This record gives sequence, C-alpha cells and structure tokens, in this order.
Amino acid sequence: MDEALLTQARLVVLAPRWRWMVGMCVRPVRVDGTVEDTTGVIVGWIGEEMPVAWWPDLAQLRSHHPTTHLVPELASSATLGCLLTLARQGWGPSFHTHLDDWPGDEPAWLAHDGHRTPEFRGLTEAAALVAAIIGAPAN
Amino acid sequence: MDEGLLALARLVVSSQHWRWMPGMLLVETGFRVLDARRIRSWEMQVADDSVSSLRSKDGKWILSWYDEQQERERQTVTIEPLPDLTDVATLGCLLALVRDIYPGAHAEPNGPGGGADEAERLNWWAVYAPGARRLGTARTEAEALVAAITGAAAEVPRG
Repeated sequence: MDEALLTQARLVVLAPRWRWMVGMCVRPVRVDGTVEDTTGVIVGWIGEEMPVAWWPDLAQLRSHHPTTHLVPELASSATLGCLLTLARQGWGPSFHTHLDDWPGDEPAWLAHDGHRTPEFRGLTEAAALVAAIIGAPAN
Repeated sequence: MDEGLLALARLVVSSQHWRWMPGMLLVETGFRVLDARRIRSWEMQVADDSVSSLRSKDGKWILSWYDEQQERERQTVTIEPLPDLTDVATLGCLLALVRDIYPGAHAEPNGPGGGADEAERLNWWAVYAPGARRLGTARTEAEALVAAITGAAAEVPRG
C-alpha cells in the first residue's frame, strides 16, 4: 500500500459509516503512527467491537481493541469488496465504480449509483470509494 | 448458498483464470483464505478462530484445525473448497479476477429499461471492459462476475 492509499486508509476509518468487516485485509499501526509492512485478515469477532485478525507473518491470531492501531489494506481486493458494501449501505445497492478513461482525459475512477448524482472521483478505485463512504448520509 | 450458487462456484474454480486470494470465504465452513504466498494447488492456509490448513490428498481436500478456545484435539474433515459467492469480500476478489483478464473492468446493475426503477435495474447485472464492451450479464452481480471470468456470458434482454 503506497502513501496515497495509506492516507485514504487513515481517512476512511474516521467516517461515520465506517465499520470493520470480516474478510478485510488490515495493516498494524505502531505507537508512533507508522504502519508496519505486514498484512492480516479479519477472520472473526470477540463480542461486537473487537475484531480478530490472523497475521500470517507472525502465525498468530490477535484481537484488536481499540482498533486505532489498525488500518484497512486498500490494495486488497477483498477489502475493496467490503468498501463497496459500505458505500452501498450509504448510497443504495446500485452504487458501483468504473474507470473513466475517456481519450484525452486523465484516467480516473468514478463511484456512483448509475445516475451520477452524486458522483465521487479518485485516482484509484479505493480513493473513489473512500470519498463515497465519507460523503455518505449518516445512518 | 443455494444450489445455483454452488454450481456457479464450481464453475468458476474450474476456470483457468481462477486463483484463491486472501480474504475469500470458503463456503459452508466459515474459513477464510489467509496467506496468498502459501497458496498452492495442494495446500492453502485458512482460518476462522483457529489455526487451520487445507490440503489436497488423493483427490480430496482435507481441512485440519486445532480449536484452541475449546481445547479440542486436532480435527479433520473432507470438504469441497468453493468460494462463498454471497460474501462481499469474496465478490471483491472475483472482480479482481475479472480485471486480471480485462484490466479496468467493472460491474453495474443494468436491468431492462435502464432507468429510474431501482428494483428493475437490479434485476440484471453486467460486467463491462473499458470502452463499454460487455463481458458478462446475469441476474446477480456474482453471476455476472462468474460469467465474465468463465466466458459463459448470457445475453440480456434490453428494454
């Protein structure tokens, strides 16, 4: 996950619509705020607030509470599937992304419900989805 | 998953484009694929709340685990490893598989009429490559993704 995606990952967890989901790939955040170069997968929960992740490099299951020391791995396809679900919870089941590669224009990812009102744009699919989740109406 | 989705899952894992990816859910087990680096044709690491492995032996897939919480002995069952096509993380991975073949592809609801009736639009899903080339169409997003991966696209009645 590059710096741009990491910035998006730090933003999206602050959104009111954000929630951790089983199947998301995650990265650990150190006490100093830097992110470790290892990836885990959320495989379950303890109670309703404590996700449990398996960390292959450590060969360990760990529970995470608080979750401030986790960020979603936005380079993961599984995580993007979960982000799309969060966006659909805010904007409806038709919400989807597509690549806008119109000749002559800078390629960009768009996220919308087919009517393009509203429409969220990003240089990556993850960025477009993060903008949609942040901009979604409150629950 | 119902029988129709199980059949689709069998179809997609038989595709030459299939690969297991971290985060995918195995149907009816609660186990998820963990580490892509360890995934081979004969073994992959999976977990729910226990340490597990899935191996192919004599043409069968053997799921083994030790449940630490319940301090049970190592358990072993034979399963058919199939992706759960109702799981959103798994669907995200299916879309990535489509993009392995067709970079930049996407899925969207595209029901007959194509217009204001949301329920009608959600009755059909289409997968498109950039340039609006339609790759797969079906009643659900999962089916359309599988159709795009396997090349088994069905035609959609257009309104």
